[in-house]
Amino acid sequence: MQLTPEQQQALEAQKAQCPFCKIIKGEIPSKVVYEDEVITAILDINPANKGHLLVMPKEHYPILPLIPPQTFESLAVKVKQLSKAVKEGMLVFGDTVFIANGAAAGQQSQHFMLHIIPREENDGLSVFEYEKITVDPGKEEEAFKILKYNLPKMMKDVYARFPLQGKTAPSLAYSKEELIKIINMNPQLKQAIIKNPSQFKQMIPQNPQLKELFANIDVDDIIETVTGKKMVKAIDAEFNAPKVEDVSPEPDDNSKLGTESFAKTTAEGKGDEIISEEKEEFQNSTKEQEEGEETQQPNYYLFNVLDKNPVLKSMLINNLNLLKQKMEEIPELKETFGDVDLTELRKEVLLREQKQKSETEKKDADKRDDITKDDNEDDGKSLKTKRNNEHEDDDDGSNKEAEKHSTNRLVDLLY
Amino acid sequence: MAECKICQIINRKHPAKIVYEDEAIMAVLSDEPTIFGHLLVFPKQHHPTLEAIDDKIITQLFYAASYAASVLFQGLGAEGTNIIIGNGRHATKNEHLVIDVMPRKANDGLNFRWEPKKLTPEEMEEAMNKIKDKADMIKFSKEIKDTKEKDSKEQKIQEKKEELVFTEDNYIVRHLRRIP
Repeated sequence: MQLTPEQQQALEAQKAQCPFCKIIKGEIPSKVVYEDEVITAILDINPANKGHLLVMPKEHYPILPLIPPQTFESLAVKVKQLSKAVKEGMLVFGDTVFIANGAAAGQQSQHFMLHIIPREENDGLSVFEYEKITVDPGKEEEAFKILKYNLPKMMKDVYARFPLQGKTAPSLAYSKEELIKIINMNPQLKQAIIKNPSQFKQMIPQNPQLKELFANIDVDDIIETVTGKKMVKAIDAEFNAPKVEDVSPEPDDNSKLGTESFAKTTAEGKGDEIISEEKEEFQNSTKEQEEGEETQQPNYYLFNVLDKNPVLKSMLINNLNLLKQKMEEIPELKETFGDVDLTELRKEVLLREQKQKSETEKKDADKRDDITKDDNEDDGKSLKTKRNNEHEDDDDGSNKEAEKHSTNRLVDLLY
Repeated sequence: MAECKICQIINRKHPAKIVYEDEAIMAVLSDEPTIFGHLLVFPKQHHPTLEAIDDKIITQLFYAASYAASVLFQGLGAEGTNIIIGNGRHATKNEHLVIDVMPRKANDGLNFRWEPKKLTPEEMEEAMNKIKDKADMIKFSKEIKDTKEKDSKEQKIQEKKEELVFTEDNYIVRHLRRIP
């Protein structure tokens, strides 16, 4: 707690008149039980019980939160020792340590003090027996939020100064879910994460606020959840939406479906002979969807290129630098990828693959369990997809047509 | 023996609104509040009294209570706060040490003002002497601790000096040998 100059002045005036300061200086006689450089303990002249002790810092402080750390720490330890002395001296098994901050709490002197009151059975001090009251839950929730937000923050420094052997400081009580909530509440932060996760990751240690937020939490995990969710949903719309319970039981085929239908639209679908009529129907339905989606999702085209060229894909995932090098050498490759951020693309591809895997697994499980999805969840999903599409609108794929035809030859060029 | 209620809270067997937790201590909103905003601060280890607790943790507990008081002042608009420690038998029904932090307002219905007991000067003198005897032990034990530390420090310094002398000797001897 910091005092304003006026408060400081008032404090000085208070100090000059404080009777307890005079007691401590010895100007007023008292029964001093203990004294050292920092604190003084005297017997209360109006005791609640025999042996009632007052423990005061020698310097004048009005309330506990205003006591500086060094004095505070000394006081805390001395309270423990004096409490022991009171118990042993008065031959009791318990005492009540009482602190009042502020007149509303029953503080009678301006000088901060701490009462140690020896307790006995039936000593008539029923004031310390609490009665339970009912509190409005809404109000309580508010208090809970305020405390939960502020207390860990304030305690962080304290914990750093009193480390327990080998234990690191506690987290700021932000769980993954809470953090994601925070991110969702800050659109700017969210955009930063979605647009450039790697850059965002680098930003964290530089920005103290972010550092605090992401302390003791897996950043990758958070980024994945924030960006990953969006990616999944976009892909859901592209690949999985009509894929209810059709065609291929093999996961491989499932992931290729999009590519195959795409091939058809580009009028190159030679391998389609094998595909059954059923499949064709399905493809027609997806085709329309994809065409709609295509304009909004420039990266979708690149995904197809990569799906068609596993070598290229593995190179993107495993050896980014080599790919960059090859891009410089092979103009067609450069043309294909154009201005796309390769690191970004790599992440997206990785995410997509992961999702596809988990999706197929989930699908299988779903088939078995016949679980119907929550309406709410679906609503949320479609909303998010929409937003995602809007977000990615800014990018554009201008020379798509030219690229499309060159893709099949890329593999040959590479090796 | 059955776990006490506080230990159950710590082990998540009893629901509670936890506002702060670290390795050593915890702060929760009381589920049997005496007043709106009634907070409990306690160590995680089961101790009935302050005396059994490590100094470091005591300090941490006091900080938590003090900071909680600050938050209640500023956050909940309390006009004052009470911090009460029921430390041992007849002071509390808990078997686990708990620090109560309560925000206060004028005329909130709570009253911790006790009726002063009238003691004769002799009784006061007696109480003072009894407690002072024990309180002197604090200083005494501190002095012992200090002197022990001093002794060990001096010992270490002496040992170091001896080592130094030894190495210096060696050094000089070596140099002497080198001189033709």
